[in-house]
Amino acid sequence: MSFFGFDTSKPVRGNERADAANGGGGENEGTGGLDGAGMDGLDGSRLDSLLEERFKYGTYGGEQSDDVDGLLLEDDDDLNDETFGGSGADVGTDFDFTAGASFPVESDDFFASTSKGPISPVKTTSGHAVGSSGPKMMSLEEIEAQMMSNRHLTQPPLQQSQHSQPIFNQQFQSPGFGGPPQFRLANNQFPPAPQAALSIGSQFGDRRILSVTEIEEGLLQQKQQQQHLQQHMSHTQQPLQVNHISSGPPGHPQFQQGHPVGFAPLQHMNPPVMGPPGMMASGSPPHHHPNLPQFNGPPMGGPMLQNQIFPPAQQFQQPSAPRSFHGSPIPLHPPATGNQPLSTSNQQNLPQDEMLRNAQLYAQQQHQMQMQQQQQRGGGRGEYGAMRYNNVQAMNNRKNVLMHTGFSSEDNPQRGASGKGPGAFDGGWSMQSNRTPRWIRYADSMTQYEKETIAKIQIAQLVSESPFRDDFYYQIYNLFKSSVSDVGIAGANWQQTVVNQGKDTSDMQAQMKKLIEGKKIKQKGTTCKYALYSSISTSLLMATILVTVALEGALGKISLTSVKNPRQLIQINQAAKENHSVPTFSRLTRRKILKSIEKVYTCILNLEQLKRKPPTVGVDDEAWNADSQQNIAELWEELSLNDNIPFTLPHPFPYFLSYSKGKKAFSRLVPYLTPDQMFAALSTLFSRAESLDVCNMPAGSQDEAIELFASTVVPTLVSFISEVPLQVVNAFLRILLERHNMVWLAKSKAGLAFLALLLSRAEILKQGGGLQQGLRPPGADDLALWTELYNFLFASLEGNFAAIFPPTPSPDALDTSKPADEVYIWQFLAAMAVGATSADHQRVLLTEVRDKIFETSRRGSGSENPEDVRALTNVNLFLNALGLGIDASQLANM
Amino acid sequence: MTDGAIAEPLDLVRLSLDERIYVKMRGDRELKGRLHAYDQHMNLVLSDVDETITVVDVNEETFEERIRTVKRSHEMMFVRGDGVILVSPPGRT
Repeated sequence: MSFFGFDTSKPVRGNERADAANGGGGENEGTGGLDGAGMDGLDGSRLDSLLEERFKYGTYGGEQSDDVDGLLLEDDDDLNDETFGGSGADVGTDFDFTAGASFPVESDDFFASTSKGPISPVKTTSGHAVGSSGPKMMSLEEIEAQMMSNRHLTQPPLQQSQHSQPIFNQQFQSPGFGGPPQFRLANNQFPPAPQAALSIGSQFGDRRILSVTEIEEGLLQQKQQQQHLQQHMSHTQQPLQVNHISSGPPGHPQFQQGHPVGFAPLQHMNPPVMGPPGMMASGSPPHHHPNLPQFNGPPMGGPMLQNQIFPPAQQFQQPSAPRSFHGSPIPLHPPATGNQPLSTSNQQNLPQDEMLRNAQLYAQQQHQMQMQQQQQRGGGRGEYGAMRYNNVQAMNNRKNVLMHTGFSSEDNPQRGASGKGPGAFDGGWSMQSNRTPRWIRYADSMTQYEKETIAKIQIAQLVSESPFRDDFYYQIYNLFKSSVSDVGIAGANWQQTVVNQGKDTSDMQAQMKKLIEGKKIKQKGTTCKYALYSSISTSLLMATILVTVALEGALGKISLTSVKNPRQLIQINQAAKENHSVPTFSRLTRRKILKSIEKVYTCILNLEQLKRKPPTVGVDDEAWNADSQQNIAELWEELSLNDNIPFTLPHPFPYFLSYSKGKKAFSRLVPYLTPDQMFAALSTLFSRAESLDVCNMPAGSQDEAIELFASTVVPTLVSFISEVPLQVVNAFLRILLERHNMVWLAKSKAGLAFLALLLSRAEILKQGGGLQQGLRPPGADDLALWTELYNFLFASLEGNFAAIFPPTPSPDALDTSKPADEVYIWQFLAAMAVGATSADHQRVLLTEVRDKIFETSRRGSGSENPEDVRALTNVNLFLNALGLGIDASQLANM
Repeated sequence: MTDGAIAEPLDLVRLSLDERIYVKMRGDRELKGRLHAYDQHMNLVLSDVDETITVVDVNEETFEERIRTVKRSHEMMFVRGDGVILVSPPGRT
């Protein structure tokens, strides 16, 4: 027996090849193929070796997977076109079998009986330009489509059938069958379902992973077609023998039917078996023989061979496949299995063999095409390779990365370096040092487009039109961080600062919007109803001062508990001032007030948001204006300052200000009020001052509400009052005088603030300060009225000036009074002194406060304590106001 | 005068913003603090918080139960909403 197991000098084969090499279209090939003896190319032994080699390195999919070994990457393929020649080249009879291993030829009979040898390499393929994958594929797909639509026996052109044949062959190569039973196929039974399962319209280029349902469908189709084919087989034997498929109508149907199925089986084969898009795509580099990849070792041989021979029949695993054979039943002889049964069907298979050969030739071409495609698109991964990783770039990148980072398997032949498992145990020191880092292994899992898409989605959810509204705290935090040096942010009007700064970020938002394709993202429900307005001022937080007392001289802590004085387990937080300072009325409940405050805040927030985004000129103007107007109207309405509530009924406004958030709100809503509205507000405030919490606190208390009031409300008042004419001042003072007891009013810091404010403003106006503001100098009437009011005020306070000062604590207790707290008192006194209209006033003032003056002066002059020094300045303030020209220190020495 | 329409129960919590509140939580815990922020999950941001944990000690032999409380203070804290049972004004305890 010759090396090949057949006579390579037979003209038939040569003709075949010549024909194929001529590049005749499908017809030529078909004819040539059928004329020939059958399978050119590799014999069974070589097939085996090649298959062995192929599967040694993994499955079909694995070949193109991220196997960093790189051994199976196309680049390293030795058995590619270069080895076997390109398209259309005349291969001749000299085959290069160096890639193969041994060629155990077991069954001489087989080869002897077959006039055809193994299928020749792809070279024989002619017209089907292997390189032109595009048109080929399309044609195939078209064919397939036709096939699919013509399930029943129709007669496709010869080309199609011939095309289909090799496809079938290719498909049948997929192993994935059971073991021994498969190659028993005494009656040319073909591999069972798995192959057939690949029956869903295949596209060579579409290596999708078929789902289980698809596989099942394929199986069903297979069965149906099997039956069809069986029927056909029976009466197409003869014609086939004569017609070489190309002419036999029955043959066509076979192929027709086989075609779709043939495609399918292969694909279906992929998942379960070894990712054999192999035939289709993952080039089986070793051999272009369509059948070769199928062999998964001996067990596969049988069915494979038979499949080759019975291309259409294969799909359907028809025992009566013989009709598709027109040559030796099993050109590819599986040495291990010794497929005797196949030899029996030689005669019958003759015509089919030719068909088969043609099919195989074509299949090889297709195979090459797909290989190239596969190269371009990357291969599958693992057994289920189908088109998982279509990104050859990614593959190459990965390889490069691995090589450059030293994780290439070539450098580290240890198993661990393959990234697929731990290396040698090193005592646990290196968790993953032997493995390729995860980020390398899984790099390029996503295409750039995917990454961008996901990023877009995520950003779209984050982008909001009004970050200052939806994500207030983060914005403020950033501002704080960025402007740590700026004290302004922490000032009283920090909200304004924030608003103004917020305008700068509109550009970024615009960019974001473009990024997400201009979609308007509506933020839903993500806005937290946080206290956007209640910023956590540090002063507020630090308000809690824990005073611990430790007895001096005692070591450690003294236990104060005893039988009669048990340790207090329950801490009754009386110190925690519940907001019962705001009394409730039947009609003006606490809840109502809070509700009003919240409504006001809503309006404030809306207005501030509008302010942050001034309308584009013209377009949004109206809407913007309308919006802001409406908000302002609501705001005003809520304050109910317009309502003339009789004095017998409580007015909500002061209770507004009794809540800390109300105080804060006030300072924020003032910018939106007209002067008239402000006038109304202050009028109400002054007239209802008795309802203010700050006014009702015991003298000298240092409640945080007072501080808050002084820091938020008072400055607002100052800014307003410092621009009003004397008439207004008079009006205000009148209200105060009429409505309140001055002594009572003077006991509270807030009240004193009111008075001092008015007094100072009046003085400024009297001295012509109003001229700069465009106000006329106060008329005589106003001045007279003012004087009258002042006198009244003074008279009310006369004799009580000393009582203004908070009661000095008992000398035993620690002296916690600080001069800073008394500033306002001194300021008031100074204002009074300045406004004194007669010398009497000043004298009285002096007299009444003398003791205090002396005390403070002595305290201040003697020591270096900064506190005391401040006290001194307070006194000086007053003294200067008096115009006595005496310094406090001098006074002390007197 | 009507009380004003309250759209949803959470609006009531809104009224308590910046006010001291009493929070009852799972795990026999109670909080009293000033509410600064909340959201639909009842996550809370509280300041000046007094936390009270009620513990029941069971004597293994006599099966006698003794109740004691553990108190803690926090200057500022964030409370995860799923542990909150109720929120209310402090009331007088």
